[in-house]
Amino acid sequence: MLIFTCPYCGIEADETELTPGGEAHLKRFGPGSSDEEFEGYLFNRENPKGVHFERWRHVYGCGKWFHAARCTLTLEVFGTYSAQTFEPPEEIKERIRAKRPGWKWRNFS
Amino acid sequence: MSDTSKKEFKRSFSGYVEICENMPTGMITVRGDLNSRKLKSAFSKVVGATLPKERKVTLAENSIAWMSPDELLIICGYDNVSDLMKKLQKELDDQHHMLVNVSDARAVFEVSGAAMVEIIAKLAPVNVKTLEIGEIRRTHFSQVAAAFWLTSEQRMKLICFSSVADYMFDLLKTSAVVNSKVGEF
Ligand SMILES: [Zn+2]
Repeated sequence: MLIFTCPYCGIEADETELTPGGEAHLKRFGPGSSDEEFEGYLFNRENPKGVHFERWRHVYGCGKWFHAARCTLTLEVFGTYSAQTFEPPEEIKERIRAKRPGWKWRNFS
Repeated sequence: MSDTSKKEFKRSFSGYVEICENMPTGMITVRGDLNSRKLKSAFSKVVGATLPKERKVTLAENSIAWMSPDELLIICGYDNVSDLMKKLQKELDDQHHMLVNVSDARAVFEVSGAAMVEIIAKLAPVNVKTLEIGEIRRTHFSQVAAAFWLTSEQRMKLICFSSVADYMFDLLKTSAVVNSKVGEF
């Protein structure tokens, strides 16, 4: 079972209390972008076996969106963090480096 | 409609715990900046209570529940709602906020008995061993959203949408049927 600690209310919420929001840290490409950028924004997603970053919403709890870093293979959770950020906090990246040396995900490592 | 003014509760059930649905309770949803001095002073002046800390419920005449980092729920007498709202509105006049009377959109249940926490454990994805008295927990009971808090070691209050009150009553009833006790807690 997947359990995340919501960074907004501190509750340990299991998957049934949450709604998945897909991949984290997507940059929006809208009007004025190239066809390739727009296609990438709409359709190209990471599908890693291992370290992954996602958006989740504590829908049955405080209702807030947050970010989560986890391993898709083992369901190990590396941490959850604020939705108001463009990249994972250094502290979480450091934790992943210790547990999954050499990991890479989009521009993060 | 029948005269319900003298009734103490809407309906009840006796299983291996006691379940009852309370008569309508006043509830006001408040959205705003919970750290603002103005909101705090408005609450102490109008509601007569300090703001609860994260995930807590203040258990006064008008209780206040912490619902999220920017949301509170005032629980008061059904007939006091419009008066409280008017006064709060006046105090918070020039500050961004939202007040909504949700009294008729909510149902309130009470579950009591020595095995009360077992009912929670049967129905909600909550680690009941971490629950503290006076701490509100928003979650779901089986298929529907609910919030509950322990008022003592053997009693809890639960609120849910009134549109699912029948479902909730049946759910609590089924989980409390005599001879269905697990005896885990
Ligand atoms: Zn939360």
